Amino acid sequence: MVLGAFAVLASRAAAQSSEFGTRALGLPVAALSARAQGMGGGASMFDPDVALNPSAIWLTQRATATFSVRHFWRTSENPFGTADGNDTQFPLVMVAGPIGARWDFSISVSAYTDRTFALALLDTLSIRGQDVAVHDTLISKGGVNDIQGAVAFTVSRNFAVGIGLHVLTGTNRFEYRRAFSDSSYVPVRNKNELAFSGPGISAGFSAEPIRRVRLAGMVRWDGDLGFYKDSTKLSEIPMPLTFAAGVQYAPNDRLTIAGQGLYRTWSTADASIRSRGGLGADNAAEGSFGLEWTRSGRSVYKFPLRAGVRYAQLPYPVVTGSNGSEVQLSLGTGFRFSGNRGSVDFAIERAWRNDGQDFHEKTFMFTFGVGIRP
Amino acid sequence: MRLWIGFLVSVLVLAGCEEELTVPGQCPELCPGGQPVVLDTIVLATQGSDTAFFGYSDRTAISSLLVSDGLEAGEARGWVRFPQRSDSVTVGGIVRSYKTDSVVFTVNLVVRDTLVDGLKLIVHRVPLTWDTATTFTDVEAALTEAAIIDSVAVPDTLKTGAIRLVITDSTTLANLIPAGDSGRIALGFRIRADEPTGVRLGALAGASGAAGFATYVKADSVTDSTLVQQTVSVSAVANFFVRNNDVVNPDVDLLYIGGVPSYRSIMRFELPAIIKNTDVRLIRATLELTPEVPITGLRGDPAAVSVSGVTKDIGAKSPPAQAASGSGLLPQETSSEPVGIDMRLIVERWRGLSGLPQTIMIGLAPDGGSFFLPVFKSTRAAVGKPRLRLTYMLPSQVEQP
Repeated sequence: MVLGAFAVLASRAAAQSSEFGTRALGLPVAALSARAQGMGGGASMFDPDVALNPSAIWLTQRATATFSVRHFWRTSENPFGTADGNDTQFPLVMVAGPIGARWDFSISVSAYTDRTFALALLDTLSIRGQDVAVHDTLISKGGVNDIQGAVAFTVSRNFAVGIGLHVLTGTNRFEYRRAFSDSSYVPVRNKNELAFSGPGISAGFSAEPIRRVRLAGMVRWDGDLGFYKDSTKLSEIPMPLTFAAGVQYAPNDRLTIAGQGLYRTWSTADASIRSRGGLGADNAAEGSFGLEWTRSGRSVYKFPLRAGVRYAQLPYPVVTGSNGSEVQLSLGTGFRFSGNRGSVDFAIERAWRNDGQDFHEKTFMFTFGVGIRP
Repeated sequence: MRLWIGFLVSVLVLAGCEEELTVPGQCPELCPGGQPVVLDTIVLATQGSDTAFFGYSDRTAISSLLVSDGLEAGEARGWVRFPQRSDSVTVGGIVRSYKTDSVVFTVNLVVRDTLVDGLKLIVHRVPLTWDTATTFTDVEAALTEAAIIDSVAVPDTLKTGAIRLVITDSTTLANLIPAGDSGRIALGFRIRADEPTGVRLGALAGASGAAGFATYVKADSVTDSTLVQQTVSVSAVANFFVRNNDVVNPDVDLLYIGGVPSYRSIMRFELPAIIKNTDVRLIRATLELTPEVPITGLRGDPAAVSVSGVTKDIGAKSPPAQAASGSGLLPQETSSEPVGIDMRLIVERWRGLSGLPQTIMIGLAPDGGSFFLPVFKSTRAAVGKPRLRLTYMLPSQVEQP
């Protein structure tokens, strides 16, 4: 019930407004728990509260429900001006827990890509032989969400595999407003809504080949993402393969360091996007590194210090021929209470996005996560 | 517990923040899928489908009396007729005869050209037998110097309102209503001013009220000074105006509107398929009519071409459709330029599966009370045919990633 309630939130608001989310499917979302976010995403392949690696839930010791909420404050710059904005997202809702001695199970709803943005545009059109100024506002809300059901099988004390079944879903509501400087022309307000649907499957493993060293890997395939209007399928867009691998090392009981790399073949949709007049898509890689340091090896959940850095390429160029990227620094902490049955985690992040010489965005983010282990 | 409260407060604060999403942009650089395309097309009225019809607002429905002097839009004269004035008053329940002290005729000035000074209203006594069949020639011949009762100078500051002609001269009062007229009088109006101009005066069917006739009297054999002075008032029971340029023999190849009884014209169109597509946004629809003769009226007295859609196309008596109308002001200065009338609301009603007939009726507003007498070219003209200019926006492609 909790998952269902939060799924509504996630599908409604799992989005981040950004000028970098205006193309194709929008801005890919790092759907991380607050803990993983605090580590820059470096440990997300191992975090049982993150849906990236389906085998990561093998470490779940009891049924757990987690969700996170994130607020953004951003400054967007482009050749047409600068604007400050803010918005809220619910990037991840997840329930996981053991279902047998060797089996673990999870259901999650997370943001996959985000197509929430609002553009204010000024232009002059020649209509009936006269120059007429137009004020356009293009508002897009929504994006693609990822619903995953996953099981993990613990093969041995040091090795587990997992498989996840995915349904990519979501809606995208558009509103296009145009006002003319000449009041002889009536303002236009167009509203449309698209629905997305597509299948996916992922598989991964987690291993601890050496004491205090863990390795993880995953691969994911997503089928074509269909988009629909009024239950009529308009078209579809190929979705990328995803590959990710991570390593985690705990030199002692108080320190954990982790890193990971992820690669998505977004360019598989390049031709499809260009055929619709878009700017295409490029494959994108990302890497992240983070650490978690606790003051006491016996109370690892009591306000540990987390820090991380993340770099990611952006798949959809904002302008022709450009290659966007983002860099993110994170700090976080958290605590557990009620005999570890509840947890609260925080992360603050600073991100810089750039695309070419002219498009920049600085974002300050605050992520708040809560976990319940009844 | 405090932690939970803190948690809930944090969630509410974050979730409750007002989102501000907008960033500046410009097309085509930042318009996903491109910018919506605005296009323009012209649709000519269906050849031979346009006709002028006569006799809509009849002569009893005029909203004002037109009176002019040397106006390019035409010469007009007006007249009013009052009912029988009582020859007695009742004071204290007793009918008594009276002696006339003064008479006041009141007419309401509805519109004047405020740039023309020296306006004078000249009031004539005219035959009681005039009716709506009386011609301009008849009226002009009757408004002679000998028929003048008096005149009143209209203050240059008076834009609208009552013009009062007060008569106190005993000779004029004595001769005002000849005995053979049984207490009835009819007045004819002409004007003079420093330059050619015209006015509109209130009429029976108009909102400004008809002319009034008040007689201030002293009742006979009344000793009470507070009751001796009485007023006998009547309002006009008939009025009309005539002009020297009424349409008498209309050309079947022209489209007329206005006049008394008024003309209206019908025309039909056939929308292109792209406009019938309801995904297309119609942002402007303009009916363009080309005058056959220069359009001229009274400066400062606006009039408009009104357009209405019809629920059923049955020709001259096609019933007008609700919420399907438009209008376009006529130029204040004499002009031969095409007239544009916004009729987007009508075209919107034409679209869709159960749209209205693609037929319009055009008329003049105000109907039956304007100096304007527009005449437009029809589809039989070699050039300047009625046409519909449609500006529309194709659906945005942004909806497809």
